[in-house]
Amino acid sequence: MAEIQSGTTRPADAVGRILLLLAYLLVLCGGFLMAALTVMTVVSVLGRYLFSAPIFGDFELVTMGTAVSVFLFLPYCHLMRGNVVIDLFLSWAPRRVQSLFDALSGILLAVIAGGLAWRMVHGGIDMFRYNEQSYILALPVWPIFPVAVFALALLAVACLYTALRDFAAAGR
Amino acid sequence: MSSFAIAIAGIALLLALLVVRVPVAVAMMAVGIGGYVSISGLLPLLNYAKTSAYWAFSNYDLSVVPMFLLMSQFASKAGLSRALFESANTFLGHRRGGVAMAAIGGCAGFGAICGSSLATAATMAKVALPELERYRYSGALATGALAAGGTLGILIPPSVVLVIYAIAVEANIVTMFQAALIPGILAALGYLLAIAVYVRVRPEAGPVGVRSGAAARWRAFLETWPVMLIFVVVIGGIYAGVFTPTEGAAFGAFGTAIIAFWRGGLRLDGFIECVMGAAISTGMIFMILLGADFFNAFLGLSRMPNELAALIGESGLAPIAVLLLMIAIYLLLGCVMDSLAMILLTVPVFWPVVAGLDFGMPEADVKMWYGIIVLIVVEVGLITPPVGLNVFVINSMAPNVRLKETFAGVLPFLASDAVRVALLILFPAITLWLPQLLN
Repeated sequence: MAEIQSGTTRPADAVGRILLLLAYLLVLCGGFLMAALTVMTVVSVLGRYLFSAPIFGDFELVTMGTAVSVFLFLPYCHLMRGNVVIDLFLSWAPRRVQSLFDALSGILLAVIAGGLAWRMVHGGIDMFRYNEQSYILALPVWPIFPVAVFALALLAVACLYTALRDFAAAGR
Repeated sequence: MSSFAIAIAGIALLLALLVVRVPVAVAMMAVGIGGYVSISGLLPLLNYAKTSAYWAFSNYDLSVVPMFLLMSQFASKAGLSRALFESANTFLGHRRGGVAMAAIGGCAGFGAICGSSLATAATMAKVALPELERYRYSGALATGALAAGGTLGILIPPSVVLVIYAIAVEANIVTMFQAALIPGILAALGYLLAIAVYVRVRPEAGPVGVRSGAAARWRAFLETWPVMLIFVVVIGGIYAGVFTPTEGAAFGAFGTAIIAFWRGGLRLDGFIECVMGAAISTGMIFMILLGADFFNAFLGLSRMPNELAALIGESGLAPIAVLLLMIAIYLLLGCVMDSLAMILLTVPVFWPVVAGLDFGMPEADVKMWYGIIVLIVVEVGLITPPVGLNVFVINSMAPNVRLKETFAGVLPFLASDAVRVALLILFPAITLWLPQLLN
């Protein structure tokens, strides 16, 4: 569907391996949450038509669950260099120049993801303070925020890590 | 600086960032944030960012995306591509160019259970390329047909890109899927016609295959029952309003997973691979969605899209001229950009302009008609140089075909695309008839 950045390499050093492991655990949790939501939706629809007993508030669970799992996907996605980039204009440039620009966009994303994590700490506190709930199941919304903050913080660290590696590659 | 000028400067900066390999999502976020601050100041942004990512991701309509991606992953491991190709081959193989036509037929069938263009092309190529080689088809026709056939994966519902378009213009996903069906079938027929014309000019490119009897045809056709069952349940169920698109996608993912376990030899490690594949694609898409959220917030504040729409409306330009200009921009962008990013980037500016023009249809109809045209035009980017992704993937699977040959092989299908887009523009009824019939 989209272009995967070329030169996908698994991180080999200790820091990289720990980051990758953490990101992998998150994506695994998110993936199985996604699969579980799929099964739940099937069960709910069958229950609705066969026994007129749908799972109560199923679409709310799907909506909130999707949000959680998407946050969990982001760090791994970045470490596997799953971001869509346009390769064409710099394809003529030496590998070092490409690495330098990749490093700069890594820093940019690190700042954005870090900033977003910081703001979502406050967002979560607001949600907790005003006791924001979902409409039907009255589930509290705030517990999603710590998960999102952790995932975004990990994304920021992962960006810094890939940026450092790209800087190193640019300096070689 | 007026906010209109800030918006234009923002778009220019965005394009500049894209040129230096900044990921599309990051460029949209950075420009969106910068533009937001320069129009409204820092504090409103800090407030907005507290919950914007949560609201951007927790949208019931969007939950259809990961489920369709899961469905595509399982579908490509379900061993259905061989049954589809062989069934189409029993019907078409005896014709000149028939094996390539069978590849198109297989792609169309696979596109009915898979919402991704690349997955359709790659999965079908694994089965069809060896057969095309066995019958001594020219490398250009064989790889060209598969690269183009892959785009049917996006045109024929389900389609992830169409879901994203529908959400971006706030259209009904169900009617969007209904609108896509006839143009999708038309695309498959147009590609068959393109092959027929091509082998009339170059008979040596597509030799005839074997002729099959009626019994063999039936047997091969019945082998494809899982595809038909899934398509009827998922798409039929969504069309008929039995369930929501998300529920349909859940059934599709569940059904294809069962078939992948049962007939495709899927085991736990393969299952995890599918889930991870869907997760990475989902992460990639939602990252761009988050970027689009910030970018759209900025554009909304600047009111640039509305002012541009008013400007173009007053300019007296013929609506059709504006539409053709937009198509030209899409074709240009398609040379370097991914279809999904292209839609999220352009629709916030283009849609208000289109909505402000008088095409002699109600706005809901224009949404469908314009959406299907855009969907086809952005997919053309997948098979045109310099970065036609389908072409690269198929070509890498056929080591003795040169890249130039594949690009040449795509040309007849591009001609077919051009004819189809012209037909869809001239006769909106092709797109609108089915949704009007069903609602």
